[in-house]
Amino acid sequence: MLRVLVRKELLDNLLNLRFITLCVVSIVLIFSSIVVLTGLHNEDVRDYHNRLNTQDAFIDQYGHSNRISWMSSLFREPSRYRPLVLGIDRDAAQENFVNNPVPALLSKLDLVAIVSIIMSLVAIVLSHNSIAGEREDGLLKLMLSNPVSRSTIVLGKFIGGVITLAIPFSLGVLLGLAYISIDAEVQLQGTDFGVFGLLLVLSYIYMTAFYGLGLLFSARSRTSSAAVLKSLFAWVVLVLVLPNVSPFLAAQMYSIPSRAKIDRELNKIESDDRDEIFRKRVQQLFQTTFSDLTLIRSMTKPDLQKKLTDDAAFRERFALYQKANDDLVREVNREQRRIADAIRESFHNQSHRQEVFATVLASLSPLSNFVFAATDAADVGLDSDAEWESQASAYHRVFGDYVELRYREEKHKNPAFTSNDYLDLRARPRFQFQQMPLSARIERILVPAGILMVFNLLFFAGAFVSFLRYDVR
Amino acid sequence: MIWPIARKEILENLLSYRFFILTGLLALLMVVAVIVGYGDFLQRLENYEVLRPPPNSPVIIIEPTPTSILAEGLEANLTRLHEVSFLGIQIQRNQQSVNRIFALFAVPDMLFIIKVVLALIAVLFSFDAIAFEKEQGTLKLLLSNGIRRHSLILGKLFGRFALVFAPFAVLFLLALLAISLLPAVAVTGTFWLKNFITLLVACVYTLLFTAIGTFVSSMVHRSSTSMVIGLTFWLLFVFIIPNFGTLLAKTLSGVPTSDRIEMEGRLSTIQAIYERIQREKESRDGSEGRRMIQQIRESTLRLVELYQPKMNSLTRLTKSIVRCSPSGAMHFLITDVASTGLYEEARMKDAVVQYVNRNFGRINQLEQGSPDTFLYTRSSLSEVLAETAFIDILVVFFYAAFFIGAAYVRFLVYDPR
Amino acid sequence: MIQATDLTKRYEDNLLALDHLNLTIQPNQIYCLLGANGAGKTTTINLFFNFIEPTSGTATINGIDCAKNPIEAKKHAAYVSENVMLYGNFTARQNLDFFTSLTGRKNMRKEDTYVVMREVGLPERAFEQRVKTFSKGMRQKLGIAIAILKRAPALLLDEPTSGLDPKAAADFVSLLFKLRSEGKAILMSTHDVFRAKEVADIVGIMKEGTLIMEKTKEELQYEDLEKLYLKYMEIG
Repeated sequence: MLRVLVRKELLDNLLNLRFITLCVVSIVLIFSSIVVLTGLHNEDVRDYHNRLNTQDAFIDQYGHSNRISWMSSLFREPSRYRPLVLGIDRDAAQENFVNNPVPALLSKLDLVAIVSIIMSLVAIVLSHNSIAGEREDGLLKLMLSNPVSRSTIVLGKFIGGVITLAIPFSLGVLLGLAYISIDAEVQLQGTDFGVFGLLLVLSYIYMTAFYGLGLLFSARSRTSSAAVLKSLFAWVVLVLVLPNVSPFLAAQMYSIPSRAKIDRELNKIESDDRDEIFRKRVQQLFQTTFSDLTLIRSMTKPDLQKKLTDDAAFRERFALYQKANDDLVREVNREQRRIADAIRESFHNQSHRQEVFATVLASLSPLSNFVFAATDAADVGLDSDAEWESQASAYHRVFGDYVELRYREEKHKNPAFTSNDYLDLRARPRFQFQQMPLSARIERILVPAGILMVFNLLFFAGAFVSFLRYDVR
Repeated sequence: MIWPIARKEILENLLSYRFFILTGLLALLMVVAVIVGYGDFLQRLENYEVLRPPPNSPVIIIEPTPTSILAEGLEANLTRLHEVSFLGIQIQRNQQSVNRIFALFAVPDMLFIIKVVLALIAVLFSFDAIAFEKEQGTLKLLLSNGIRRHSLILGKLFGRFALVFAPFAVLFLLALLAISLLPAVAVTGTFWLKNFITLLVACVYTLLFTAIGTFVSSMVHRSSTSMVIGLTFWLLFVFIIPNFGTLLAKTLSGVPTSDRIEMEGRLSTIQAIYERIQREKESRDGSEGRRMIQQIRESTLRLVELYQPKMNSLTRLTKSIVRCSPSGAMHFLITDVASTGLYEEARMKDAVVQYVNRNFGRINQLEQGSPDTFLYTRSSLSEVLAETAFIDILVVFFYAAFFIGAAYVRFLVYDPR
Repeated sequence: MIQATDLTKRYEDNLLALDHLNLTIQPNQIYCLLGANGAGKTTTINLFFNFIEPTSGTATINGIDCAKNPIEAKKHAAYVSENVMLYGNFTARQNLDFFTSLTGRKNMRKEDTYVVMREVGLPERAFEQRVKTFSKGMRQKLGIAIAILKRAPALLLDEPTSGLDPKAAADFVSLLFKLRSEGKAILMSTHDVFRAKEVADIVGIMKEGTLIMEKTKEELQYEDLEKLYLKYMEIG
């Protein structure tokens, strides 16, 4: 019986001009977005390799320990999933003066945007009249005059609708994937198909949630025009309002000082304050332990030199003072660094808490969860960004240590060697970004995907219960 | 005859569930937009106060403008700190938000409300204007009463438009008033004038989407079909053309990425540094530093000179493609009017480059004297209107006129069987 | 076959739509329910299909309680509603196929559906045409075809003749007689006094939820049903 109902639902949609239009639009849109983004991605990859090679050749040829940091900055390889998922768009970050400003003004239309905005709207449009509309046409009564239970009918509607929704979407994505795999510059591997599969599954879950939402409001309305208003309103709140509002509102509710302010504060603590404290401590030193040496403060350099060579006792005393002074420098530095580190730590914690708060607030909408899950699945999301930064800074330390080691080696061989001389760094450790394995990524997306599933269940259960009580007259 | 019909439309919908919910949503969004916009503005202001350089230093930062509360646009870009040295113009990154989560979502400012939400509400209020009466059979009844067709269609159009726009305008003015009362905002005449223009544009924009809904409504027989087509127009104009247009423009233009330019600049800079070191080993006459700086200057300047026209043509192409959609044109228009748009960005960059050209010698001690203080005033309203915004205004007006005309003509020739 | 015992329905808004209705319809019998709008005719039929729950009393079809065991009861009754739109994008045959498969019957042959469509008087060219091009009368005929194909012993029709042209209505009456002769028990609600007199074995007149008159064909033979109806409508 369920099969009959599912088939009816499918056929009814497939014969519908409205559905066919939506079908064509979504296939064309998905496919062309993938094609265009693949082209741009290829260019990015070429840029990336070009940059990497230039930099490598440069270090091999001109390695000097002094300015090496200038040419050893790391770049993140464009993710191979960028034709589908742009994630945190580096173009929008605007880090250089010459950047193109357009990406900061208008976002780009990738598969994630298409699914989260357009396909969810299509889902609502398809589902909004499947209960209220059939009631208006007297079809529910006619159907229910037969020995069919209401739960079978609502289940049939749900399954049939979800399948119809999946058809154009899958067609568009599969065409796009076929294009990607034909395109020689992107070579696909086994895990890639895993990621694509994951993205597809996440998209299905997301679209299903919105189909359920439309069904829910259809089952809570007498007419399809009331149903469409209610479900569109819910769509606006869930897709346009909540995800965009919540992180920004979270930032206002849990505000953290600006980074510029913190930087200035840190600078003050670690230089101005430090110098001030140091001066005071030296003063103290002269007043207590080295009160006998107070006169050196007013001595000129040659006088001091002279006295040091002449007076042995003074020399001894001065050495003692110098040691105390060095200790003081270290101590003050350490103290100030501790204070600064505490501020850094607290700032870091604050910003982390802000992010968590924003993420939690954003999780109230299925769209945010879908975006989180999809970007994480493609390893271009928030976590992967943090991961890349931590790996990159770890590499910077390793590389710095290596340069210093090499420098000391050369200096040892040849004491006249300076930091401006060529340093052979060809055996340097190379950076290789360790992407998270697919299994770990799946683990990471469990929470957002789980929340999506909860939305799904909630909407469907709501539709189910409402339909059981629905007045079919 | 238009007025009685418009009045009937307004009264009929004024007490409806739809009107309350959508107006409530609009009010809620406005409150959020003001809170978030003001918060962001305060943050930029704080950054500006912290980072503001002493006079005569080669550091460039401009003051945030209160109009950015309503349309953030490229304000974050504009208020960045630029440091000028012999290495060129460096951007300081510590003004950006630490949290990347904001990169994933759009800022819910007033521009977003107008461009996305108000347009949707206009479609939702007009898709059933004619089609519903056709379904109910009341259209024939109306036409049988000797009502002229043109007054019926215009009455419906303007009635529904007023229903959407009046609450928006009231809320918008309230939001403006609230902003003007906020402590950190120094309100000037230009602020009011600019926002008045924004309101005017929003008015035409709302009329445009009401006309789209009415046009579609007079085309089809069922209001559900009319809704689907209306929503498709909305999607096409608000999301698909602007967001896909940027991609398309980039693909079509083939401009090298700014990363490549940045990298090349860096490469030539560091080569110059090493060449200096080499030369210093051989002879040391004190002119090495000078020569290096000159060399860096020439190479980076050449790059920027090569790149900037390409970048400008990319921006032009993007603008032309995105302007195929009235929403895209309106996006440019409102950000430009608020001095946070592409025009301002290009103008500011130009000013920075000119400043560097003027002061390069003094900044790098090649010449005597200290550099100028960077002075920049944002473009005036008349300048923006004359330079770029008139095209966007034309686009929005053209679309509005087109759809009103289409709805009108379509309804006049409609055969009420 | 079709039986209501003290059937009562009070809606949430406290409106008493049906007040202790008792009626019985045997096989080979046509029962016509007459009454103004809101008299409770449709409520009665709705209760037999459990579209709504009765407040008290029972409705049974073939001895099965429609409220307690609706799925089983619905197997024995077919329904024709006043104005059914059907699936506009489906052809007549596809609609017939779908609704028949809901009764649990599988593997319908094309010819079977054609036979029934001919029987209700649908023109041959309409069989494979999309229903959204159909006129109201054609849709109504298709609705009746759906009910016939269910092959249920009880038939409940809610104002089936409204909107039919005279020729179609006459065809419909002969179809009803044919169905009666096949042994069906038929309950039909209508506004149409003449039609009721023409077809009914028993006529019931409803007013404000109560059955105020019930007469057999024999009893009505020498009475003017229309006058009777108007008289009953006038009485307080």
